[in-house]
Amino acid sequence: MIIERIELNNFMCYAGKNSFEFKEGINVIIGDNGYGKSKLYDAFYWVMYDQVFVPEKKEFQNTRSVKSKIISDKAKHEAKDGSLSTSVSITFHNLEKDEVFILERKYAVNVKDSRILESNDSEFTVMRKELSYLNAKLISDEEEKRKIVFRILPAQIKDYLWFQGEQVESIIDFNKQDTLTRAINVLSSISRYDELKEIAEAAAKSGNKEYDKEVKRLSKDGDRSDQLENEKERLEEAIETLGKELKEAKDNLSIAEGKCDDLLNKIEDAQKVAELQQKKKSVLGRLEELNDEINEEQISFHKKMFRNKWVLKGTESLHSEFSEKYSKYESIKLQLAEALRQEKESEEEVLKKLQTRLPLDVPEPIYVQRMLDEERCLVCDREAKKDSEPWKRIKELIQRHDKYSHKHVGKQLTKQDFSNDFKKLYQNGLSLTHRISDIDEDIAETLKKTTGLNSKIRDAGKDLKAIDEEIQKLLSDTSLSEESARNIINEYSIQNKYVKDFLDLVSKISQKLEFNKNNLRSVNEQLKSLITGEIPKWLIEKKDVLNDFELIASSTRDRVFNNLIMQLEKEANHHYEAMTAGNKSIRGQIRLRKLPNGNYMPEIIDGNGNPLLGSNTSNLILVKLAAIMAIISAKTSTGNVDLYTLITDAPTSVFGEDYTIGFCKTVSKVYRQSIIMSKEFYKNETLKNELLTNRDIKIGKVYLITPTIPESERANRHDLSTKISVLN
Amino acid sequence: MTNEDIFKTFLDDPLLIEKGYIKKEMVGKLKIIEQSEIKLIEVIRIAINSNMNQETENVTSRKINQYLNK
Repeated sequence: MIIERIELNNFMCYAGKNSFEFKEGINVIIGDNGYGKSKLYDAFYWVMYDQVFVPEKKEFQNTRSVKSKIISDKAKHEAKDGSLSTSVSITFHNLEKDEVFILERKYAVNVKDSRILESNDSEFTVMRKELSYLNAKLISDEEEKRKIVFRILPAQIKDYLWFQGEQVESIIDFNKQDTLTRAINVLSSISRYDELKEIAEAAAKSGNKEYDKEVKRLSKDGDRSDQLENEKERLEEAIETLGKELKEAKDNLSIAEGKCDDLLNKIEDAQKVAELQQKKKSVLGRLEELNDEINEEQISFHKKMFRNKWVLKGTESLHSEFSEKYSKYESIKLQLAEALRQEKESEEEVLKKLQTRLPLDVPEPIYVQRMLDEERCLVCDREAKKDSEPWKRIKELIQRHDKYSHKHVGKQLTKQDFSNDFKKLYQNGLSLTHRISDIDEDIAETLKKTTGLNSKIRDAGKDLKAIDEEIQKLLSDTSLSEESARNIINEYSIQNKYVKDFLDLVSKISQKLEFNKNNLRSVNEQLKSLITGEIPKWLIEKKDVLNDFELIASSTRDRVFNNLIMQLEKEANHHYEAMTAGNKSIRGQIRLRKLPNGNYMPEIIDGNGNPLLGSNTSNLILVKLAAIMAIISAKTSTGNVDLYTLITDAPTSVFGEDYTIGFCKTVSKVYRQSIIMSKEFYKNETLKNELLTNRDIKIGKVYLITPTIPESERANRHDLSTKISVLN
Repeated sequence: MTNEDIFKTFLDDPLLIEKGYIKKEMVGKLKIIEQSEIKLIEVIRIAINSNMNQETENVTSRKINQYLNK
């Protein structure tokens, strides 16, 4: 069944009447973010499931919850009193039977005085038209409507056919081991084999019970038979319990192995991060040591100013200047001493001369004083008036003693004598002078050491920066955080231990199981040996046939499932190769790896069959898409899924432009019809042209949608509508 | 997948030949709509048809029992 048309009336940003026609092949709706692509996806979803996606809540909500929000703002703004409604109808065409189904959903409100009176529910109608007979019928029975919706898109496969880009992760979730198995079960007939296996098991059990009853009836020793029957029952219970334990252990082993595998993809990056962090720690340690060292050196530098007499640097001339001045000082002193000596000598000479006239203290000073007082020379008895020449001469006699006797007593050469201090200073200076010449060398050595340390600090700083950048790049490339990288390493170690533990457990339980089965065989033999007479042949044959039926049902189911897996793997690789053909990065191959519990997990392997580590996110998403497509394409021969339309909103946004064309080629081959909403073609003109002209792409209709108001200017949405332009 | 398809996958099981239920050359000749004399094949046929008709497990078991008790 293909979708021929969708008509939107006042639905969200699609104000007024809007319609899109679709054809077989890949139909593309191009538009940038906020242009209305997701609202178109909502329109499809709303018709089928009465739900729209609410981005704020990140979930689909019923009309009952969103109510008038689904009606165009423009329509609400322009509404007059009366009824206002939104509706979307989808026309599905069953090409094989030439019948058409028109599914329409309508939601109406009442407007009174510009107020909106909301109703709760939407109205859903289904019209069936048989084109060959030119008749049409409105389906009124709700159950029939439900069946038609289910026929158009069965609930169990809906997730694989109608999805938004970001849902790809959850549709095939590598963290859930049974995701692929569940998808296979849903999209293949494997569930029928499972049911047949259950039928066979029940039939075999019933046949064995009937046989055992007969064995007991024919026993020659009833008590022994009872005893053995009890033993048999105990062993069967034990085997059943052990079987469950074994399954549980295998499940746990699978989970641990799955987690290990999952972590293995990240462990290399996590280890790199850890190594870099260790390296960073070591550089930080080195940097701390260097900083301590340079701090000490700084303190020591200051101390050395005095301890190593660096403070004297540049004072070489001071000492010589001082020496000169000191020498001059001493020389002056010597000169002064010499002058004094000479003066003394000359005075002594004078005194000697004076002594030829009158000796000193002759006449005695008391008589001299009397002569002065009496103003008369008592020697010559002549008058000597005060201050006269003779009086002065007499006075000279008394002063002569004082003059010559005290003139040189205590006489100092200079006012202050600094000789000793100067001498000490000179001597100190002299000892320091010899060291001044070493200061430069000492400072140079210290500076060399400081420069060396600074250089090492700079280098360490550079190393640190480089490591930090490397860590940040790695974290950004791998979407890890420092903490998650640490956790991955720890988790990997834990899960590895679990794997070993569960392997041991599986081995122990298997041994016990085998032991109990042997015992059960022995009990059965013993029971058989107690039989008298013969068990009817038909009963033996019935038992054997039913047990073989159980074996065959089980092995057939496994064989079919394994074939399906092989086919899926082949198909997935086919799609994966096609989608990644335009990209140069290493892409590896998809392998569906069987887990101990029987589930399968997709993984990317290299040419040697080893898991390809560090695959980029785009590749992992493409693996998931390839797995989904493989499930669909593997079914095409069965005439079941190929008639459904793929509707996906922004599937290419999760893996980028490089893969977009590959994706479109593959989609147009796998799905008879697809409707893709994409922004990649809006941004990239070359890509758009390739979409429209590439012969490997079976192209349907291509539309460009443009809002009347850009998203950034939508404070007022009263004029918001969407222009639809057809590009082919 | 049709009943015939499922039936064929059961016939592909090597155990049928190993245990002597059928010969290799017979495998291609057996059809689900045609009855056979081989009891195991008939049991498989009953189970597949019954399952296709969405009959319960009890009903299927009863049918198989009735056939094998004949």
